[in-house]
Amino acid sequence: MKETPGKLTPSLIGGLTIGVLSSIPIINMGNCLCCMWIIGGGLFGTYLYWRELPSSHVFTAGEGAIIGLLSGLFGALFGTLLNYFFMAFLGLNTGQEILRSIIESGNDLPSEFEEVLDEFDSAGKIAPLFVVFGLSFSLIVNSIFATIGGIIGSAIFKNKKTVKKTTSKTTKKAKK
Amino acid sequence: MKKEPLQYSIRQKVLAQHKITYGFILTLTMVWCFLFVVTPILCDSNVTGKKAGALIWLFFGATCHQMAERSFHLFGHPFAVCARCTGIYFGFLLGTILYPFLKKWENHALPSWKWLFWAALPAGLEFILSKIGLLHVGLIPRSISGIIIGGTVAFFIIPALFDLIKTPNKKARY
Repeated sequence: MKETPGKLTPSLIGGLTIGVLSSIPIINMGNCLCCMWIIGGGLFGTYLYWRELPSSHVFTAGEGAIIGLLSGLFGALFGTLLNYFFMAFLGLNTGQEILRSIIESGNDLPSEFEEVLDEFDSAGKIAPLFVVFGLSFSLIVNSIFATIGGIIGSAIFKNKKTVKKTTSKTTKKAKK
Repeated sequence: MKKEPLQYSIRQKVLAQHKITYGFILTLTMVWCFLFVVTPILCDSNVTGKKAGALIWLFFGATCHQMAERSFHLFGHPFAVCARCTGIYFGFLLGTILYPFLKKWENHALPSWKWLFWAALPAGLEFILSKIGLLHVGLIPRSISGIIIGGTVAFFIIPALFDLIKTPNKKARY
């Protein structure tokens, strides 16, 4: 009997995908489309897990949800580390710049919002508050949306192997 | 056929677990919706309230573009998310409320992924046509297309979470 593959490796790869795509400037704006990269990362992790499954194994939605959740949590860690890297070595903080431009463009938001943003941005240096809040926000958002991605993945990939197997058997029988 | 008492008690335990999970999802969704709706109200309050509103606004910034011209307003301030995201989240809440009336607790099977495709189609078409410049979409159509997506997604998430919360006895099947 074949054993089921580990969930850690696909979750790590899914998480890395989330972290990288959610951190690279410009590309990270894809998350404005219903957290596209986060859902996509969860889905990708689920796909990698499903690919390694033996055909006898029934792929459940719960498994997809777990892989999505783990991918989201790893994605939050990788994303925060990469954001830190971009800020520390390249001086890039696109997320904050976008938020600032929205506030400055007269977005019907009170001026106090800018004061809060300033607390995250202490004279151009990386504010510890930014890292703490960024990580906790990412952990919540990523775990929710990547779980959704994992569940969608399990709906897409469920029992495809069984379907393929039965169709190949029927075609073989037809040839005979 | 008459059910055995042990099997019956396991079934009751599983049903209770499902109801707790469902209650958790419903509460979480209501809190989530409350947070982005309360932001404009906080914007209209004192300094502390405004700062709390700013934190909520920053939190939702990770999930949405938050453009004011594409958001519903309350007391002259925008919601923390755009009209489509508002629709998605309220659609999910609606789907969660309707779930026990439309699907049995015992049924863990996910709907076909094609439902997701059809649910996302109006929003996708709207997005593409407005980007090309063929269609100007208002806030209400945006939120309606969001409601369709959110409502459909609820019927994937809830059974998956029921499946995730394992039964007391793994061998227990309905």
